[in-house]
Amino acid sequence: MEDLELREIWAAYDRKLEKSLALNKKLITEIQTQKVRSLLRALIAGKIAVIITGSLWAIFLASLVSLALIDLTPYSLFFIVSAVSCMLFSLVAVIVYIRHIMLIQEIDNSNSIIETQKRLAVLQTTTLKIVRASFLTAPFYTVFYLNENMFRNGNIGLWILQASVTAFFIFGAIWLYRNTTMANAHKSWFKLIFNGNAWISVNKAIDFLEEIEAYEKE
Amino acid sequence: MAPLQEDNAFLQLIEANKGIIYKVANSYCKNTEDRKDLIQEIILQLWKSFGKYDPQYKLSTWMYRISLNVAISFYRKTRNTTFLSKDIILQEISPPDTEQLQLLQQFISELKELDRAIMLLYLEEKSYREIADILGLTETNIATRISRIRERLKRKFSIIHN
Repeated sequence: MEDLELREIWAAYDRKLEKSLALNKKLITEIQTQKVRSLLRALIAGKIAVIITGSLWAIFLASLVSLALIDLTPYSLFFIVSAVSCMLFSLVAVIVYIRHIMLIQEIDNSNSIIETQKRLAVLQTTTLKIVRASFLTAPFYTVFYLNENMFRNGNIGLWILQASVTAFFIFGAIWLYRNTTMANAHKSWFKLIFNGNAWISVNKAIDFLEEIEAYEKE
Repeated sequence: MAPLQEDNAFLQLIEANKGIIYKVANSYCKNTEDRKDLIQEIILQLWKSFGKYDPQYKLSTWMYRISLNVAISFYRKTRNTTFLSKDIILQEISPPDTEQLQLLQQFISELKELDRAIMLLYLEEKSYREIADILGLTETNIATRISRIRERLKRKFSIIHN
């Protein structure tokens, strides 16, 4: 099919649309009077939910740490170190998400497509970086409960099991941290972990960044 | 511009360019319900940017940038709910499209997001310069891409015709 023919098909479509498109002016007025919600609000609402949950979790952990500090023993250090690590991670995630909201609001759709979409896609893939960092907190969940009673009365079997579980989590966390990168996004294990609705937009953002990269290399 | 004047000017702008909005939305969204939301979001974002329109750019460049940016962002989002107005803002009331147009639209919808934008602008008879400006790429880059897309399109149509 020749260019001229293609453009003629399109021009005919254009002429047809010109005659057949009906505009709902009442809805335009509603948009102008801000009665219609933006999709951006939904995106921000999701991040606000994470900020609230993360903050509440950090406050809860801080309260438990404060209680543990009142009655400090060498054995409670396992709990304190674990809880403080998870709390710090939650705080970092909360700060990152607050920054996200600020950046989303700064996005100007009237900038060029590459510039705007690249910023948006990078923002979406940051979620992956947060999850990647969260893997490193996993081993703390295997030691926070260690207490005096376990040290005094625990048998060899208990400690072998405990050491195996913790070692497995340490190894797994480090492996996941090192391998959860955009370069591995097409591998099957990655797709298995990061599937589901919540990850669709992140995966599309990864594909899109690759597409932009290919364009810029040309 | 006084508020009422601005409101009217915007309404006229949308009325005059409703085809652009519809074609962009239709290229990125085949689902009727989602497309309804996308069209509304495009118009909402156009309205939000309307007061900040920079006359150093062509109006069409500004419109395409916003419409395509919103459409591409929308395309990447996970669609869980339809939460915008139930009313339809822009509706096509016409007989079905020709077979060739349907094939062309299908071809466009199979392209990757950026190639889809390029093809759309190419069919709209925009110059390479303006396409490059809208996308933020070089003219050479655009020329190379268009040439590749055209080749693919020719192959697709020839297979169908044969």
